[in-house]
Amino acid sequence: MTTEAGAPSEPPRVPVKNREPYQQAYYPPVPTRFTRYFRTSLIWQFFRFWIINFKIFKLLSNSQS
Amino acid sequence: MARVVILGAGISGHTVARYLGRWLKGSEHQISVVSPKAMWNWIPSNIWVGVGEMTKKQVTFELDPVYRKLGVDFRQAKAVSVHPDGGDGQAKPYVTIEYTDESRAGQTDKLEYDYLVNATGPKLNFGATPGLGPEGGHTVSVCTPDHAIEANEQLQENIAAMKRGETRNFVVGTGHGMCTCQGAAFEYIYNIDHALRQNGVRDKARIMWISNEYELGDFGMGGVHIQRGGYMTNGKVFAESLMVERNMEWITRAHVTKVEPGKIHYETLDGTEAELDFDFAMLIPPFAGVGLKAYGQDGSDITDKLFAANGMMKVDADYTPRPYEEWSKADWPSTYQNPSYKNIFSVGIAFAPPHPISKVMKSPKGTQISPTPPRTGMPSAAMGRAVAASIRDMVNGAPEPTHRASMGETGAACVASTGSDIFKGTAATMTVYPVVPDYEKYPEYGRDMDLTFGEIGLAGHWMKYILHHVFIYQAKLGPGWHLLPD
Repeated sequence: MTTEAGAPSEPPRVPVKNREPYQQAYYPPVPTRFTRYFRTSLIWQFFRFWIINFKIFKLLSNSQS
Repeated sequence: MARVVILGAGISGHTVARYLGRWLKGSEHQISVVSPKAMWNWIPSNIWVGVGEMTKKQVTFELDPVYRKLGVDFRQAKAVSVHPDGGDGQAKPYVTIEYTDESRAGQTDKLEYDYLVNATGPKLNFGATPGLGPEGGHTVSVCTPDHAIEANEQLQENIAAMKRGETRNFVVGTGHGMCTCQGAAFEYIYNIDHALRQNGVRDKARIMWISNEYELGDFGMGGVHIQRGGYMTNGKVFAESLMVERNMEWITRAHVTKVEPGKIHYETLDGTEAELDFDFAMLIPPFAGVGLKAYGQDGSDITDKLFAANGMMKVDADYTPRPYEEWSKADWPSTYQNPSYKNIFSVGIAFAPPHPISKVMKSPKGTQISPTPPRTGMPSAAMGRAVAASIRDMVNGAPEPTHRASMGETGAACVASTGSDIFKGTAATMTVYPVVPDYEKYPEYGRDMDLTFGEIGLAGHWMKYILHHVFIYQAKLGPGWHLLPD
């Protein structure tokens, strides 16, 4: 692509986020679509529900012993 | 016949009352509960009141009818002073109370006791930061149902403004360098985000977190390690990830010095003084003791014998000042018995912790900016049940407390809602065991890594919703309530 002399060139299509690297949001992990899907997947969460309950029950048993 | 007086009917006080009531029902022993409020409140669900997902009626119920079921005498009053040696014509120890119900407001009374349980909870010390709080200040709160209702009203006004095209700054967190209960604010910020998304105005809002934690996810417990994605990682990563995913920003290591209309002034650990603009701010206040006084038989002030400088009651903890590296779980109380008066106990937020769990840090100006230890929720109930069992055994002849519930040996589960919806809602489920790290038993992380975990998902939301109903059912003494976990 050529640009006419004196005309402003099109700004590079870079997400604004990358213009300011190493900001707060740069470091923490961000969940992928796969992870986010499983967080609200009814079947998967049904299993997780019982697993979490079992773990908390175990925690309670340990606390009371 | 023994008389047991319980001051306070929050999670810990109500736990003591319902177990003692059950165990001593039909006996000659008497139990009295003194609470300035007529209603019991399931505080965790105030978060949902604060975003309009629940009403006050759904998170409260009247205490008196419940106590009548157990034969427990309920006094709607606030405790004013403790007289552990008697005095003023009374041979037995007693507490003075001031009624708060409409028919007897302002009247005082004396309640003799053989055993006293101080479960008064905290004074919400909004006065510690100028301009903080809903009563005369410029921020809202979710600490009581009425505060939460007001918070929701302001939230809805802001949502309406954003629907008109305006932009808004939301700030949520802690309103002082020495706050605890970061979890409640943590939960509220996600529910605001969820409410804004549901209303289609999230793009009009800047959401900021401000807290006194050294790093996000400290929660006053010195942080927590969990196993995640093949790594042993810190709760900081877990908490920051949640914020980044929802496009929130955060300021940590901050002590809010002053709140003016639309402007929060704060100081950070590195000495920076800065300002933050807001349209809506929910900042948790620091907690203090409720201001109970204690008097000897001759009327002399012995408050410092029963209470620490912050107004919280001294119990069987080791209060010797030590450097952070020398603290251990052994410093933490286990029977919650007062060392001077063996018939006085203190549970929940009312007991004086021996030291913070998070490392104490100070700014160059000398301002302490580090969270104080949490004692709410599951630990409160555990200590309430242990104290009830000890008193039951002591009135039946045991010479000393028989049950223990040290925070160095008990765990806590926290289900923090990150958006309420039966199909699309989520919550962060976090557990720690033990609450106070035990580096002797668990040298690496101070906690049992099998029982310490964190997970985000819809299952957590279902649990949070079910727990709301289960705990209210239990607190109302529904059939079989004592079989349910505390």
